[in-house]
Amino acid sequence: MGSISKRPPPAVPHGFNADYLRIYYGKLFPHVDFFKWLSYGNDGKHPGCDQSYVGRREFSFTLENDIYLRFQSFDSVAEMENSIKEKCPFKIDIGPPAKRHAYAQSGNNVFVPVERELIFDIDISDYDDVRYCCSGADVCKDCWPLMTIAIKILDASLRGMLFCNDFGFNHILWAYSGRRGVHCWVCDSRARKLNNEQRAAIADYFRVYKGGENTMKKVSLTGPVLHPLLARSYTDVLKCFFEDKLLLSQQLFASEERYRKILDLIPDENIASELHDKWQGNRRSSISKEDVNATRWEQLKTTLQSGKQKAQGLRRCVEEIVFSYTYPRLDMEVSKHMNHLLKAPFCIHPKTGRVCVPIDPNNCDDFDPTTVPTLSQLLGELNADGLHSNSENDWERTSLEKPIRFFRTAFLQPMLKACKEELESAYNAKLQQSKNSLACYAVVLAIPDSQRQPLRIISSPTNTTKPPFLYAARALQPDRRVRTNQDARAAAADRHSEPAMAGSGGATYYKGGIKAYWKRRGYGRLDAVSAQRRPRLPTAELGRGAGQPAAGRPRRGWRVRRRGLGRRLLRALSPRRWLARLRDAYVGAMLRLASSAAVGYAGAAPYGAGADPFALPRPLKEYDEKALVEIYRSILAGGGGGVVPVPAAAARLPASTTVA
Amino acid sequence: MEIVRSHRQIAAAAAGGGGGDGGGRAGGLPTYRLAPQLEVRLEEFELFAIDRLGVLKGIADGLSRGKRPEEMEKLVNELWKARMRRQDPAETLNKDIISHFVLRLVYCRTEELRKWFLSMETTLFRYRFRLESHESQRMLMSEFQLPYKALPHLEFEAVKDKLSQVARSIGQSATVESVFFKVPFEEVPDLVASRRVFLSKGYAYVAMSQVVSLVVTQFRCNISKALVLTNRKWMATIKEEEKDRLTPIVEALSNAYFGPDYSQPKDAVEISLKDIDQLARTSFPLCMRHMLEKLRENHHLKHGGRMQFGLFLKGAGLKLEDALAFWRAEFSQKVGSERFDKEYAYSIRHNYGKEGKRTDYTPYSCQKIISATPGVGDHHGCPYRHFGEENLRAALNKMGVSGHPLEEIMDKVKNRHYQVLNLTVLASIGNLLNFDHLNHLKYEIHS
Repeated sequence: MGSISKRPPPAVPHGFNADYLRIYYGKLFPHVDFFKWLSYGNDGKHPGCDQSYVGRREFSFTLENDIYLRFQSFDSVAEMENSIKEKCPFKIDIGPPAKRHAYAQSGNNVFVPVERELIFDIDISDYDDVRYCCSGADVCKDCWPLMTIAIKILDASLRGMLFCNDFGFNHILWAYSGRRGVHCWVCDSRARKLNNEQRAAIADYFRVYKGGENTMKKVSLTGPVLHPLLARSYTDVLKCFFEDKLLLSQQLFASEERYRKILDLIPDENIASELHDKWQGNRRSSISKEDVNATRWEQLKTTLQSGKQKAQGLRRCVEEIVFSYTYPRLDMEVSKHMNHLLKAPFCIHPKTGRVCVPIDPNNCDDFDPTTVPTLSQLLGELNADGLHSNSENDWERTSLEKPIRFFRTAFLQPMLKACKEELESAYNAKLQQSKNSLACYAVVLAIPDSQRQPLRIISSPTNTTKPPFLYAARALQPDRRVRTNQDARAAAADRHSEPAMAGSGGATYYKGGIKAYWKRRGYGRLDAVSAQRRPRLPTAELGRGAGQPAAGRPRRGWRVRRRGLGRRLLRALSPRRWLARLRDAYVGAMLRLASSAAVGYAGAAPYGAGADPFALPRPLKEYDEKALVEIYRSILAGGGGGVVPVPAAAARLPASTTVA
Repeated sequence: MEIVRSHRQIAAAAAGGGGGDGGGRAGGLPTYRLAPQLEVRLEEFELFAIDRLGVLKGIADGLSRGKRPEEMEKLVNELWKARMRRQDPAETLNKDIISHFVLRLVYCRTEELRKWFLSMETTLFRYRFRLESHESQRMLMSEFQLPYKALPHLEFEAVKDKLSQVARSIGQSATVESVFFKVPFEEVPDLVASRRVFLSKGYAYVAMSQVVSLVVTQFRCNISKALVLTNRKWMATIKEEEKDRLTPIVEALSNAYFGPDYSQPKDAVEISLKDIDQLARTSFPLCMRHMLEKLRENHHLKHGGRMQFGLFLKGAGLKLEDALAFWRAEFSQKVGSERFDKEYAYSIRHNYGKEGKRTDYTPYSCQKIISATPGVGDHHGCPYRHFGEENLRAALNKMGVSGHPLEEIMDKVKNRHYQVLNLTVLASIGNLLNFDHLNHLKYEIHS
C-alpha cells in the first residue's frame, strides 16, 4: 500500500491508534503465515486438497468504535491481506469453517460449523479470589505464574510427550491474549474434527474448579487417590508453584483475612480454629527469622497430615487448598462449542497495545507479559532502522522477529508437514479406490500452468485413440498477466488464489474439439516440433517453484538437456523407460477399451464397484480426473512425456516470499 | 384392519430399505438396526407408542431431577416393567421394536424433537444395557461390530498401575479388572468428562464394566443417523401417502409430549417495571430472587446471569422497552449508560429476537438452569443445586423460611428434588396462590 511509505516521526509516542495499526498491518503482520496456518495444507498445491476450505472460514473484524463485521471470508491470502489493510480492524477473531460459504449475513442463512480447532481460553480475572497483587484485567509478574501453571498442565496433557500424554495432540499453539490471559489452539486434524460433546468432555476432563460465587469450597477432590491427571499435575506443577512462588508472592498467609479464607476450606472446625488462634497469637514472633507464609503453611500441613488425622477428607484437604489456589480455571463455554470466535494471534490488544504473541510452552516460565512487544515499540524499531527499508521482511528488524520465527518453526512448519502427509495418504487411498473403478472416457490432459498449481484437466467424451497429448501453457493470457504483475506481493499471493480458479473447473465445456479449445486458451501442443520452435523457453520442474533451486531431498524430475546420441541410446535402453512404455501401452489399451462402442457405458460395470446397471452413464468424477493426473504425472516422472516448456512470464515471477 | 403397507414403509424409512427380522437382538435388548416386517394393527400402532412415550417421559423426569445412576437404573427398570412388559417375551420384544420405530417416525420431524428422542432413547438403552448379563453384553458389543479387542496382556501389564489408580480414584477396589479395551477417546466422551478412564496418547482404556459407554455412543450414532434419514423419507413421501391414516396419529403423538407450551403465553400477562420488586417478594423462584438481589447490589450480572434472569423477565411479560430501561438503570450505575448501550443493550434486544438471527428466545427451563455450570463471579444456576449449604440456608432465611419447613427443604435438597423446591418454598411463605403464575413462567412443577 502506497500510503504507508510516508515516514513516521522518529520517536513513536506510546499509544494505540488506527494509523499505527495501519503500518503494523502493512509492514509487520505475518499475513502469509497466518493464512497458511488456517488453510491447513489446502493451498492448491496438492491435487487432493480442498480448494474451498479457507474460503469457508469465518473471520470477524472489530473496527474502531466497536463496529463488528462478522462473516468475512477470504479465498486467498491476497484477498485477506487487502481486506485487513483496508479495514484496519482493531481486533480479528477467527471462527470455524462453516458449511455454507460465509458470504454475508443474510436472511435465513444458517452456517453450520464443519470443524473447529479445539480452543481453550484462560483469563487471569477468573483468579481474582486467589490473587492479591492485582485484580480484574491487570496482570503483573506476581500473578502471571498462575497462567504459567495453566499452560504447563494443559500442554502436558494435550500434547504427545513421553510420559504424560492423555490426548496425544501435536500441533498446539499457545498465544498471549494481549492483556489478561492466554489462548490455546489445538490444531491437529483429530482435534478439529471433534464434535461439541467431545469438546465438552475434554473441557470437563480438565475441570476441577466448580461452583459460582455461592459455594465456599470450590474444589472437592473425592476418592481415595487422585486421577493420574490430577496426581501428576499436583506433584509436577501445582505443589512447587504454590510453595515456591505463590505463597510468597501473593502473601497468602500474611493477614488474618487471607489465612481465614484458607482455613475456611478445612472441613474440621476445631482444627481450623486451633490454627487460627495460634496464628493470631504469634503474629509478630516468627516474622523476623523466616517468612510467615511458609511457616504457617508448614504448620497447616503438619496439623492436617499428622498421624492423628485419620479422616480421609482432612488429609485430602491440603491438596484441595493447593488446587483451589493454583489449578487452571478454564472458560468452559469457549471450549465446549464449535462456533465460538476467538481472537487471532498477532492481533494487537487495543487497551494495552501489546501484540498477541505465541508463547513457547516449553519455556513458558520465561514469558513475561509486561515485556511483550507493543505497537509503538515495534514502530519505533522500524523507524530506527528505516534506512534499509528495501529489506524483504520488515518484521525481521523488529522484536516481532522472535515470535514470528517461533510461530513458523515450532508450530506452522511441523503442522503443515503433518497436513501434507495426511492429504497425501487420504488422496492415495482415494486413488487406489478409484483405480479399481477407472473407466476412462477420454483423454485429458493437463497443463502445468504455473508450477505450483495442480494440473488442469479437461475431460472429453469424444473418442480418441491416440496416446495422451501433453499440453503446456504457451503463454499466459494477457489479461491474467496484467493482473498477476500488479506488484510483486500480489503476484506472489496470486499463486494462492489461482488454484481456486483452476479447481472450480471440474466440468469444463468446450466446443470445436479439444485442440481448438486449447488453442483458444493459449495452450500449445507439447511435442518435439513445438519444442524446436521455441527452444529458448526456460524450463522448470513440475511441483517445484520457479527458479527455486532443488533444495532438500533430490527429486527425480525431468528437465531439458542437450544430450549426446550415446546418452540418448542408453536412455532408450534403460529398464525404466521400458516400464514406462509398458505402462503407456496399458493406459492406451484401457482408453481404447473404454471408448470402444462394444464396451459402451456398460463397460464401466466390471470396474465400477457396485455401479447401478440402470443408471445413466456415470459422469466423470473428480477422482477419475485425479487418477488421470496421477497417470500423467507418472508418465512425466518416467521420462516418457518429454518437456513442458514454461512461459517466460510465469518463470519470471519473483521467488516466493513465503516460507518454504 | 391391518396395515401392511405402512409398515414396510416404516421399515424402509428407518433402515434404508432392509428386510430384517426385527433388528438384531441379544437377550431382550434389540439394537433397532432394521425395522421388522410385521403386521401391526392401527390401534396397536398408537397404543404401543403411547406406552413407550410414557417410559421416555418418566426418564426425562428422572433426569431433570438429577437422579444418580443407581436411582435411574431402578427407575428405568420399573417404568419398563409397568409399561412395556407383556407375558410372552416375544411379544414384549415385538412391542419394544414396534413402539420404537413408531416413535422414530413421530420424533424425526424437527431438530428439537430429534434431540429429545435421541437423548431419551439413549438413556433408556444405557440402563437396559446395564441390566443385561455380561454374556449378552458381549453379544451386543459384537452386534454393534465394535472393532475393539481386549487389551493384550503385555500392554495391560505396562499400564496396570495407572489403571488401578484410576479405578481407586473413582472409588472402586484397587484390584484391576482383567478385561480392558483400548479405544480412541472420542468414543467415550462421558467417561472422559468425569475422569473415569485412564487416557494415554489419545486412547482411553475402558474397563469391561464401563463398556456401556462405548456401546451407547455407537447406538446413539446409529439412531441419530436413522432419524435424519427417516425425516427425509417422511417429508418426501410418507407424509403425503399416509395423509389420511398415519400422519394424523403421528402428529398427535408428538404433541402429546411437550404438554402446554409456555413459550406462547395464552393470556398475555404483562408486568411493568414497578411490579418487579413486588413480584420478586411474592412469587419469584429463589434463583431469580437471588439474581435480582445481586443485580441491585453490584449493578452488574455476568453473562450467564443476564441470560437466565433476562429471559425469565421476558417470559414473565416484561416488554423490551421496559427490559432495556430496567437493565440500563442498574448497569449504568457501574459501567455508565454509554457503555451499556454499546456492550449490553445488543444482547438484550437479541434475547427479544430483535437482533442477529432473530430467534424469539424462551425462558430457560429448570432443567437447563440445574445443569448450568456457574463459574467464578457467576450468580446464575439453581441455588438448591449450586449453593453451598450455608449460603442456601442464609438465602432461605432471608426469604422468610425457617424452622421446620427449612429442614424439610434442606432434606429435599439432599435428595435432589430441585424442581419441587420452588413450589415448597413458596408454599411455606404462604404464596400458594401464585401457582398459575409460576407455571406460566415455565417453571414446571412436577408432582
